[in-house]
Amino acid sequence: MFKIRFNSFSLLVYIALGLYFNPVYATSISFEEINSQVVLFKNSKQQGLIITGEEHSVVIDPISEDTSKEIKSYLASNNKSGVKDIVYSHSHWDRISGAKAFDDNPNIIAQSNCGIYFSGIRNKKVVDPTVYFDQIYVINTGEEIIRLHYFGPSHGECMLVAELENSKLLFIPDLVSTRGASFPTDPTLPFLRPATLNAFFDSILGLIASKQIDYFISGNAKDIALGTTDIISKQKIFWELIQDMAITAEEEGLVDLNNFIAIEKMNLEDIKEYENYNDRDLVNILRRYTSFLNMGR
Amino acid sequence: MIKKILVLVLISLQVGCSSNHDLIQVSESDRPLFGKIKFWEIEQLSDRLYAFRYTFYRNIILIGDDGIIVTDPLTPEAAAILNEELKKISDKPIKYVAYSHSHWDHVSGGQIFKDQGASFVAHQQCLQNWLDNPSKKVVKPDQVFENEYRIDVGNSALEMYYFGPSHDNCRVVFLTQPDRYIFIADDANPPNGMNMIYGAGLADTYIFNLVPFFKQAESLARKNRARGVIGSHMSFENEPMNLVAGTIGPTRVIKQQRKFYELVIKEVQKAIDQGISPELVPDYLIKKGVLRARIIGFDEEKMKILYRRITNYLVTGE
Repeated sequence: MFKIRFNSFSLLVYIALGLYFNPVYATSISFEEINSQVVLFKNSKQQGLIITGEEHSVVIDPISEDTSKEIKSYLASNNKSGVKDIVYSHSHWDRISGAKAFDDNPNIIAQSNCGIYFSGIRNKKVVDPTVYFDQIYVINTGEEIIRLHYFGPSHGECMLVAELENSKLLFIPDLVSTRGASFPTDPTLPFLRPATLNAFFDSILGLIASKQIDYFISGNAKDIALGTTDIISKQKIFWELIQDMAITAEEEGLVDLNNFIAIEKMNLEDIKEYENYNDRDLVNILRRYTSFLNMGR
Repeated sequence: MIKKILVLVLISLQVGCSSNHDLIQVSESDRPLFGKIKFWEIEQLSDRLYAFRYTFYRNIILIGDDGIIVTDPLTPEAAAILNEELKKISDKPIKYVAYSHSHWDHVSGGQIFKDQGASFVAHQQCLQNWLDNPSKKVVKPDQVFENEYRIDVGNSALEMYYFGPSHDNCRVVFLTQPDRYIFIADDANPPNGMNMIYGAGLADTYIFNLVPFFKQAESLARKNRARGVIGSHMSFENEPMNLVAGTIGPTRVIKQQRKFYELVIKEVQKAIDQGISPELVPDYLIKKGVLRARIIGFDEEKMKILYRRITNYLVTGE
């Protein structure tokens, strides 16, 4: 009897201590050190970066308030400097809803085209940026130089690419997977900007060549931490192939009145090589591209 | 009581009258497009205002004492036909071409009017779009504007209003004067704004501003006592393939179009609030039959795409 009571009491103390030191939100966030300055954090869907320096730290994409609380705990428990700059990689709420948790008035930096999505408060969890830039913005933490590049509309209007100069790393929030060139996760391509996509990829590839960058990190939590930059050129080829297929479908009269494409009449050999291929997704992707060919947007 | 009923009857008669629009067919193609509908046709709405339909697309033409305003040339083939037909209607020069937005399928083919000395007008963001992705078939504008612009050709004028990004980031609302008809490219097509939309993926659509955009268009229609809307596309009645010309309809079509988007957004939000995982929202709503009875020509496959797009919007804000 006594033993049982003791065990129950122990269990209660254990749960209480667990709740005290590990709040509920703690369970879903994990951290991975890429090098001594760069830390990758992720929840079940998204991931972002902390870049620590002697003078201050930088967070790229504070996913949610819970994530940001965890980031603060992580920095404090590892004797890292506080967050002075928060970077929004683009305007999507599911990536940037955690800035409120940083209460020392950090700079919140975004590309200027994000502005239309912040005009008027549409999501109370999202704090408006305090700094907008057009083409490039540089943050120096002491140990790392972060260059935020804007290469035009790609995934939405305002997605930037972060270059960690000393680490020779890129952070590309969307459009590429570190696992390899593949079909997009959402075949309806809600945010894709086909008109400027090639130029976007060319700019990244130009940067990679000029700075001899070998690895990149994506914004997708399901990806592995680092991908080789040759994946980026392969992903560009994927989109070129899709555009070629859409042109062929138009030329051969395979597009019906509702803009659905008879892919069974097309040569699918090359496109089937890509990860996550399936017929239905291909139809949706081609549908977006035939629209693009008609509209120019 | 009898007086009250009489007033109501009179009001309803007046509403009924305001949605009746006289259209005179001026000319049409010999070539059939779909059933009895011909490949192209020109209709007259007033002595100053014409509508030109080419395949499923439509533009409007204003003729004033000082010249002609053509809107959206559509394609080089369409523009060539329109050019020939206009010569039969008026001896006035084509002085202006006004663009409704930047999509090539509406604005290609203006060169034939440029060669005659026409001046081209568009919203400033359209020019940026054509600089980002140029088309040889699209004549770039000579004049751009930010919020409002008015083109006068004597006793006829075209007013252009920008209400923020909506479908495309530079679509404007046309208001013809003095006839007071509204034209909103790609949306608000008569006879009913609750019709199933063509592009369910809402490509190049700024969803966050759709409802405010239509509210401003409704307000514009109200303030100007607009007589109706002219559709930029052919439409359908009751069933998807029962095609109708959809040239003209009452201004309530604008409100119906807003309601269409509002309803879809509301239903998706409701599903998310009920704890349905975003990935499962489209199938959930289709299975429940949501909006099936409200949307005319409800197309399951398209609605799945639309629900998915709206879910993305509600998760990301874009």
